[in-house]
Amino acid sequence: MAKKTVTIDPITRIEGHLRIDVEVNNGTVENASVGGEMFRGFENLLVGRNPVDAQHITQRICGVCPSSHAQASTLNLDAAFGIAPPDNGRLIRNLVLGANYIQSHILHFYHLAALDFVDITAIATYKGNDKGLGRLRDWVLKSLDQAAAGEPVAVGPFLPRYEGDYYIKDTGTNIELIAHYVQALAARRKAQEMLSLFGGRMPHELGVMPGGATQAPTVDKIVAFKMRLIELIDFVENVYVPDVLALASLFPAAAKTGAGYGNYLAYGFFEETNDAVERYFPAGAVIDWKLEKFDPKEITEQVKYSRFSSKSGLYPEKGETLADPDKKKAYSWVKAPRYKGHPMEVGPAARMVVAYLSGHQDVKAQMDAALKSLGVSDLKVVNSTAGRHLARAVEAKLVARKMIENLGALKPGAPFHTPFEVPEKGVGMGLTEAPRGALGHWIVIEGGKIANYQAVVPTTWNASPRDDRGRMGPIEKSLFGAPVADAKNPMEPARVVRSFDPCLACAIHMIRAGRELASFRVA
Amino acid sequence: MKPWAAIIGFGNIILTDDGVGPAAIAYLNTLGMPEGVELVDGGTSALDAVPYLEERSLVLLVDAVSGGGPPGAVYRFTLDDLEADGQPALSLHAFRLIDAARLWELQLGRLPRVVIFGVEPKTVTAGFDLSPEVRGVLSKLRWLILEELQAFEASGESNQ
Repeated sequence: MAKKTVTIDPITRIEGHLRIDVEVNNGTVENASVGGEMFRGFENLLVGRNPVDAQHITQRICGVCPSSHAQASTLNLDAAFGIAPPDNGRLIRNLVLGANYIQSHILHFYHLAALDFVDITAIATYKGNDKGLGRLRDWVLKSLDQAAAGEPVAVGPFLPRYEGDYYIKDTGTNIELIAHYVQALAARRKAQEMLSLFGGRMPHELGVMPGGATQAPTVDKIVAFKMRLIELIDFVENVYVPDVLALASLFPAAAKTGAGYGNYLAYGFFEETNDAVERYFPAGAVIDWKLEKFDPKEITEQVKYSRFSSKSGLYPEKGETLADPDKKKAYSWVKAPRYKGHPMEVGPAARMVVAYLSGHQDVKAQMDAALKSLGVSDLKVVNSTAGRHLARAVEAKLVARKMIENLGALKPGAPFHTPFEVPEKGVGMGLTEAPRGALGHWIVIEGGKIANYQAVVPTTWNASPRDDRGRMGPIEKSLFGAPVADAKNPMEPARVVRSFDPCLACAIHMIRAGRELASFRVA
Repeated sequence: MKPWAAIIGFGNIILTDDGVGPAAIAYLNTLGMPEGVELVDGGTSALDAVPYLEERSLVLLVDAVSGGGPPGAVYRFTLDDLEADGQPALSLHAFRLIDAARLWELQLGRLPRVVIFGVEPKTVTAGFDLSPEVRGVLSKLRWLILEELQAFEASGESNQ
């Protein structure tokens, strides 16, 4: 194939709107641009408001990982108010965040990424007794008939899809994975219910606040939580992790595509101490596979290729959100965060690498075991499409096990909240890890109100455009060398992007009807 | 009494008229609903609505809908009406209700009767307030919802 540009706009089965343009020469990607197509601007909404509103408003940034924003926001406010939660408060925050991880990682693998590998049409031959699978079979058959007849295909979210020699061939394996897809829906629901025991509801839970948690951990809640957690551990360890390993074995090339810089950043999460310093999953920065101590002051956001007229290179506390939709040469609504000037990957891969290189025994044991099942021993395999899925699954296992321990440490009757007063002036920073990566919130309080609020979300790091020096962001870099066999069905670049689990934030989600709804108007 | 109906409002309250769903729920909550009808703020995750559909005979959804009418127009339609749309879901956040409904059905085995009340937005940019056109239609929406509930109860289907 001669040189051409292949555009995927938008990439499906991720959160939010992302566009990629790849230059393909002789069947491989030689250059890439990744553009976030949605302007958020939530930070501007917060200015002038009471600081305690921040955690409720920022949770609305995302419907899948709102607990991460609740965590970052409450840590941010704790710092600005000069308070810390008691043990129960810290533990409940960890449990709420952890429940969100389990839900999110399961959602990502089964409901967002798996259909890149699993042949959904295999269900057409299903002859078993499971009603859910039977129904799925009937939908797929109907949609295949519709497609053949040239009619609009109504079966989504499974079809239409990229066509080509991309999928698992064995019918039995396909049907088993499809059955797990359906089981994963129930597992996700269980994780949401579990979270809601302390969070009140999902999405946009109400369980955490500055100073700790909003309600006491009672024995019945703890028992109900544990019951679900044990069932989820069973799903994660006996279904999810084995499925990821199986997929990685069936697609060995996936361990050789999607290599990024080898730079990883983690702020750490699952606090072990009430001052939020010691964390089970540690903070750290890895630059070209060398670990160093993390210093938040080295974070800057550059905007040369981003649609903002804000000054470039600002530290987030001093950050600005000044939209400039017509800015020349800019191709993304995403800013370009850099650490000591380097582009950094964030997410499960980053956390596992940072922990592994820090000598974390549990992480090392689980990652080594997973790599061994794949017949490899080099941690650098994590720097690939398959490696990211693997790191995510291993992390889910570690998170779930740590949650059992945290749950056991709760003390009914002991304090769960530290009272506070909103100060006249204050400055704060809240760093945590969302399922998708390092998440930071910064606040400046003046006159008892929010004067500035900035959030640097994980996907900003990963889906970053080029910085002021023209250095690509992590996903852009990872697209290099991806094979493109068919420009109309560019599966490999899509697989690379999905391995990062990008989330460009919850923006507009209203129903856009394909046809005129005027005939349904009632008022 | 176990609820026989649920009214779920979907939307993002910090995106002006995109938040019409949760705003409608808050409004209905202030004025009260008949016995057996549950009000739910569904936020931005249609996928997570499954528990509120289980064991219900009727579920009403309220959401912002771009249907070609003027701001504040109200549409009433069912999942079957959305069925033969042919438009693929573009992202998890444009995840169509019909896609969420497929996944609900996979989990529940059967779906209750689902009726959607859509409100045409004026603006969906960042902000807390509904536009006057959309806020002004909430009381009419409430009447439409009460009529829908009454008609369903009268039809006898609520006892199934």
